[in-house]
Amino acid sequence: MSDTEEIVEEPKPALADEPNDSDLAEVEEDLDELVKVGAQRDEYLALAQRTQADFENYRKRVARDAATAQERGVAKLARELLPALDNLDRALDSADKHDPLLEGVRLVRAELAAALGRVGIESFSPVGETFDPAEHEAIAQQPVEGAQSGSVAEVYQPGYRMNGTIIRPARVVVAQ
Amino acid sequence: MPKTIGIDLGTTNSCMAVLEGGEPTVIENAEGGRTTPSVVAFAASGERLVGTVAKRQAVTNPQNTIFSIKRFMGRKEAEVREEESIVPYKVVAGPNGDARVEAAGEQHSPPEISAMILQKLKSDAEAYLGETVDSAVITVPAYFNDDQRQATKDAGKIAGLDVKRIINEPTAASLAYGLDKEHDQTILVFDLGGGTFDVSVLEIGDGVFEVKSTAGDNHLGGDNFDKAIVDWLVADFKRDQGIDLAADPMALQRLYEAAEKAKIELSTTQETQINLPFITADASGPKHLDSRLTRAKLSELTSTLLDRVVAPVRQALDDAKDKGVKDIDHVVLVGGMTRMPAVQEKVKQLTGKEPHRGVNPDEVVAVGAAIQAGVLAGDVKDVLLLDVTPLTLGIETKGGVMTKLIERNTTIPTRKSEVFSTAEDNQPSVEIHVLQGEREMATYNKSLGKFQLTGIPPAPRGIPQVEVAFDIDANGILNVSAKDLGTGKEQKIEIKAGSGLSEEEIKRMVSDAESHADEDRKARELAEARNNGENAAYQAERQLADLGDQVDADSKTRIQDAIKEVRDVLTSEDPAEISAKTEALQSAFHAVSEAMYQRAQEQAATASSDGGAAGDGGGGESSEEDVVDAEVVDESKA
Repeated sequence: MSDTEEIVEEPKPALADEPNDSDLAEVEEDLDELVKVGAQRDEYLALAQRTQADFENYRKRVARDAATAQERGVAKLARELLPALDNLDRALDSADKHDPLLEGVRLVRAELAAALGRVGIESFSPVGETFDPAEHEAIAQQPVEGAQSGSVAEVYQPGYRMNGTIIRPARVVVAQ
Repeated sequence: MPKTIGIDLGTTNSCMAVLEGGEPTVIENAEGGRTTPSVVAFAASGERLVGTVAKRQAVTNPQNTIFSIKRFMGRKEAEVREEESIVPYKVVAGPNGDARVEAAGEQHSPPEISAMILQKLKSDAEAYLGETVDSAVITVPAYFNDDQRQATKDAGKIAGLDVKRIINEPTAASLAYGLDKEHDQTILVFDLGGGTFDVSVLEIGDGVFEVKSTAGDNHLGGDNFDKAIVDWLVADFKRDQGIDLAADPMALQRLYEAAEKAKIELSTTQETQINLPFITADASGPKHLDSRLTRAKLSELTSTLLDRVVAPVRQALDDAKDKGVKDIDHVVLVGGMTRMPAVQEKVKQLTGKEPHRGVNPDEVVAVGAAIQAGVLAGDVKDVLLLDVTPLTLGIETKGGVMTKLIERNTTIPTRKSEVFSTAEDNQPSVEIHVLQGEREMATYNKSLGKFQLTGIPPAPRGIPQVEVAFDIDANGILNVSAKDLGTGKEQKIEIKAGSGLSEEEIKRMVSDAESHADEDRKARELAEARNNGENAAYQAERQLADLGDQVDADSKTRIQDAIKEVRDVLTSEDPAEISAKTEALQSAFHAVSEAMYQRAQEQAATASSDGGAAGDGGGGESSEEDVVDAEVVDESKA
């Protein structure tokens, strides 16, 4: 290809020693075109790099999300079931202590807790601890005798964490 | 490369999104939430808390827990006396009369508080994206004046964000629905959020949005609706049990949660059960709350609230009319409360239009802001708008089945290849029949072209490896090549873009496939059952020939009978019947193989190499590939 071009181009200077106007215009046009194409190339390269970077980051995140997806699914189901567990606790608390049924239900409750434990979910009840909004949700604040101000005086609803992260904060009363 | 994100800085909740590969994605905060409460707290320890954590400690620290800061943005203290009386924290006048918040013994300007929220969003976004976030598009209500916009911009700056643009919330919501591509249209945006109600009428011309009118109610939102349900539950319980649940903070908390759940559930169902066992107790024992709430009852309970949206909508429409707006072309819903069917009904009644749906109303503003951010960052360019294949592409394989290589809606350019084989012994060539469409069987799909790959050396069926590759470039031109991996021989065909299918034809082909899905599946099952049966018979025959005398005459006859039975049933229209015979043949062969292995074990020294071959044959279809070319009835070799 380049060979044939040379053959065609070469005689040109021989025909006219001085470049004429139309030649100049052509060169200028070519230069313009070159600048344009160069700019376009830069633009496309930037675009390709940006897209590539986006994709790399996206892929990393998807990999990370996939790893946590199962845990999230488990946590979601657990969150839906926890209110029922709370109610079971309330039932146990208000039951007649001599009812033989009570012991059976208590075992059922323990079974549920053990099942949650096997998938990494454990409850916590922070009575007496310093109130920490990262893990506790304050429902009320009351003066409580003998309790230090700012500590958890009562736990209305236990909190739950799964492998270290809070899936439900404990609902507490904070001492004033 | 630093990112520009879109932020919906809301009165009660904030939300953020980013454009990735042209698609908006909502960014989760560090706690995993898709929205973040717009709450900042100054703890006694001197710690600053933002978001959910700040909200959780609010009752212990009401004077230093700042929410609804948006109501004070860019306002003079004298203008917001009413708001001041509602919030539990202290609002004072700053040096120039601006409203300031006094918390933890210090004065904070509203932009400073907002900046704390933005800072959390920024760092959470960076953690999520794994990249620096240095700039943002932030949304504000359409009615915000210059001072309020400037205050919002300042908040961004304090948070270390380059605020590329402040855009109106209704504009962002319209962007999320792609309405910027419309010409000379009017849009009504109905935004019923957690605590505020805004309605705006916009006009769009040549990609520019103009706000024609706004109206609203600063204190109407989802919280009011929840309270209406809770009040009803409390009143009912008091009537039935004589106990006031409102006096018990834990009971009240459970009631609010249940009310919100019920409200959400009633968006999709006609009635819901509100169960709160052991909600309280008296001398007689525990008390339970068990109420049924219907959608009709909910509408009744909230009718006064629903009525409160009417006047602002009418006013916005009237004001717009004064400015030459004739009709509303589009209605966009924003805010979680717009999921409620009664709210949607009301909007339809007032505007006479079916609202746009599809984008989560809690996230639609942030999504629109992200789209705007993408435009400003240069992410959205024509060259980036990649096409997708409108229909599935594939080739015809044995039994007239269409084997799919590139599924519909795959983004192009793309390339996909798969290895196929021959359907009969010593088959010298394969035919590649390129198909387009969603049906399971080749004949119902559109043929794009066919070609032959010849010169395949003689080999038993299933042995040659032919790689078929589909390659679609950015212009939609499809190249199909077939290569014999044994000889390196290759043939290809180029199919021009579009193939002349109109939008309607594509739609018809997709809906055809849906309506014929059942019969197509059956046809495919039949074809597959026949292929499997035919293949099993062939394999068994081969193995039998290979094994020769190692199989005793009795077993040989049994297997030959089973093979014949499979072949006889191949013409049946019932795939189950064919499969049953195929399985019978395979288990007959398994029995023979087992017996043979046992013998081999007994005479451990001998027969080891042949035993291996029999093991391979036992699976029958284990080495089977998808098979190219039309079905060919095999000659019996026995």
